[in-house]
Amino acid sequence: MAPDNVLILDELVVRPGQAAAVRAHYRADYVPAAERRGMVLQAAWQSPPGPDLPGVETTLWFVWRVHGVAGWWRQRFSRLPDGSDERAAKQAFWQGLEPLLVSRQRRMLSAQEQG
Amino acid sequence: MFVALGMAKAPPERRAALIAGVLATAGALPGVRSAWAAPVLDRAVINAGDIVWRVAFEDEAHAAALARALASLLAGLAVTSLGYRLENAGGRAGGPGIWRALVFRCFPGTEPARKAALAAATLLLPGAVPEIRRWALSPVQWTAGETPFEFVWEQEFDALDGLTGPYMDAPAHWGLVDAFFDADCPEYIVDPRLVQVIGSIAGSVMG
Repeated sequence: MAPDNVLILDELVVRPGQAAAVRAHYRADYVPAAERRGMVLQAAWQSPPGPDLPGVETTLWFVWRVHGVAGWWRQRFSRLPDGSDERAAKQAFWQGLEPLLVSRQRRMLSAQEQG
Repeated sequence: MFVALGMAKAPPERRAALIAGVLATAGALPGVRSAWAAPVLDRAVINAGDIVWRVAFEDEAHAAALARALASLLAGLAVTSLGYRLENAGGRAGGPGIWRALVFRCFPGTEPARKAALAAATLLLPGAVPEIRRWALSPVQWTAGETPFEFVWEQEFDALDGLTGPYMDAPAHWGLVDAFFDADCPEYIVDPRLVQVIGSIAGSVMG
């Protein structure tokens, strides 16, 4: 059965001392564009728990919700306001963040099946 | 089996004659196992042109003759053509339906291990989408056209709905395989300048 909601989980492992910059960049640049694509930010977590510790890597998680599979493809096939393909802009955002990161992954999540 | 796949842009009034001409030309060549040509469907296609043909040969040497044989027929048209040995193929024959191919390449410099991961993930789809009745994921041997394509991911379905519905809805698709096509994912390696081509078939063309 198709899920009513799909979650998209970004996990960003951030270089020591860069957590505040990554959070700011993500919230200023990624969040508005994602919301325009129909994504709803459900939660934002970090570890070690805040406040940031100097000299250690910080892992940030951003949990997004989209409405079903159709909502998932909507954000995936998104266009810019001028109608052009948004993939280059998405790629540019992540490439801009790369120097601040140790690694990242994005995972798609659904509720667990019974059994 | 070696396949020569081609697509061309053509004005509506020329398409039927071009399709007939491609089939007649292919049918006269030695080493042909099967030949199919059709108008490109007007839905759900990307950069596919207006007509498509797929000619399967016994081997690559025989396939090389097709481009030469079609040169005068296709003169002046924008043509994309490619050749590949059919690989990673499976499934069952069927009756009327659609044939669909996604033709793509990875960004220059992509590591072979990441391409292998893409291929392995893609080949999970037939097991996850029963509507795929036949499939093949083949590395491209040669391309004539603007983009040097690397892979042909082709399938047959009983109807277009199998592609636009179950194939797109499958969690294995959007939740795993698509990461290689998704600029938001670190797995992203597929050049977005790809081709999705679909045509109606009277029976299996990938046999």
